[in-house]
Amino acid sequence: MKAIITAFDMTTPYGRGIDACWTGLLSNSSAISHLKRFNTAAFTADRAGLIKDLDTASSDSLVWQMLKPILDKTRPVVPEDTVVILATTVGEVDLLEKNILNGSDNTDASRLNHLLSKICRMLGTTAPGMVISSACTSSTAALAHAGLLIRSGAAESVLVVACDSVTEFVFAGFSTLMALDPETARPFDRNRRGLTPGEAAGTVLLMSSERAERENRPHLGELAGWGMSNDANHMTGPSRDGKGLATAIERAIRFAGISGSDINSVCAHGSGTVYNDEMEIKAFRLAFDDRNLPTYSIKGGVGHTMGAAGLIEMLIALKSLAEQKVPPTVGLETIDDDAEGWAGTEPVLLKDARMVLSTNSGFGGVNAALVLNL
Amino acid sequence: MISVDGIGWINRQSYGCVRLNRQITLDSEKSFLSLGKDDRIFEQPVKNFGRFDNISKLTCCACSLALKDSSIDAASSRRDAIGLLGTSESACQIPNTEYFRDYVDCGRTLARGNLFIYTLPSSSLAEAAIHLGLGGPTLYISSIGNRLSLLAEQASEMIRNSETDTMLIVEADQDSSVCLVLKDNVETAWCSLDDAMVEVEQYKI
Repeated sequence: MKAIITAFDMTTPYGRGIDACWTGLLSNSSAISHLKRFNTAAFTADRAGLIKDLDTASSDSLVWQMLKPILDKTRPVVPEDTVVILATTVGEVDLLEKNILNGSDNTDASRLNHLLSKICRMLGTTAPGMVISSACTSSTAALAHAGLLIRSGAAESVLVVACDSVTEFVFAGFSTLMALDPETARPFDRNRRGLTPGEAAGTVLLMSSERAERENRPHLGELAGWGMSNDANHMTGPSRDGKGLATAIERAIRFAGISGSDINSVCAHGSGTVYNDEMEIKAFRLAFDDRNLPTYSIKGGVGHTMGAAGLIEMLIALKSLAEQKVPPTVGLETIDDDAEGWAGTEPVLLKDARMVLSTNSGFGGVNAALVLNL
Repeated sequence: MISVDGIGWINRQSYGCVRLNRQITLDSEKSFLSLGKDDRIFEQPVKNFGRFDNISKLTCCACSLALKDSSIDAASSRRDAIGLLGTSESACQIPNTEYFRDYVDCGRTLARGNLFIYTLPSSSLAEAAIHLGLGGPTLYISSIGNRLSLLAEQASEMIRNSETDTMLIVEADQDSSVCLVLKDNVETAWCSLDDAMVEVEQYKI
């Protein structure tokens, strides 16, 4: 049973919808801006990829403000028996921030299951949903699991809902770990110095090919393969040799029933940290036998959207396939020697491309890869 | 058929391996959070174990005991592909609160990195994967209802679809942790999933 993408939506710092993000990336200009949401004077950076018009004074959390309009639009196309998978790292953690700053001990409102229940109620779904969290691969892993549920026949319709927001909670933590670029993230650049946090939300409705056909649903792409792995090496840094990510890629390619030579481009994690980007190129060289592929990261444009990154990037990878064009890596100026022949500062036209790969890696050594086709 | 090949548990009163019929009762003087190599839980010292948050400590212990129970030793190359699914009732509620309260108490200028890294629901699983060399998928999965049953269902699907041939599923909270080793092998099956789900209830104290 194939896992078909029948609907999707997203909001990123470029604006609402995939076209806003795609146009922004092709324009090679970043949506990252100076952060005024909280005081950044003590931190190592003051920039982030922010969604316009989110209200920190609202009783609604930041992610709920992002999700509400998306879920409103998605609700009519989501069948009642859909399994909802919420993918996030910290969800409504700004509610916890507010409670602690107000001197309250009650932090229950920020529980991930609480957010899942709100989403299911709003959509009117009756099937038991679940939360999947796996650091910065959360939504990649959730999409992989959605694909598994459909391919195995355990579910016919799965909606992956991904979200994370820029909060003082997260920003202060990244700052302490010295993970932030003091300017704007520059993935695959020789002078890159770290990541820039970003926020985003999105949904992808996956259906079995049989049901999608029966219900005459749009065929927007296929999740053809997926693979996950763990470096089993370090909590905050990737394995230096890239073998963990290469294993995830090889698993995804094998699962899709294709070979590495069938992949035409890569939407990389490309966080902008020195070690991540170096590790990724090593992994790609291992997985593709040193065959250079057009490779890009969107994190110089929207920031690192954490648990939402995988879903947003998967949709951009599909758009890239539909347009037969690879966007430039926004923020990249001087290509690192390792990434020469892979990442680029200009769009690249594809010819008869049929399969693309999207990868993510994160804290705790987690890696995930998705193979997509139209 | 997916079956259970080993079970490890730890709580405030005791810890052990079900298949090996090994149970060690803790005396009242010893904290279950300070167990280590001398207590026959780990084959080698766990780096930075003292800095782990409670759920990470208990997760690591239960996973190690479950692997012992399943006779999968540290040198086994099979560990490269073993996956790990985890769940808990509170996810990161306690570490999140500790981390942010500490940050606020310090004047909102400097967060503590060692508290920050445990604010992810998957952090405890990552610690276990690192120490035990588990190279398969690592996911935190939660829902409303019986979380361990949900993990068993999801892990079984992953095994049946060849994502990996062995999965650990672990439920950990502040006071206890229990871990099951799931495999797809009828010939060497030790315990059915249904029987195991009943068995583990007594260890969740």
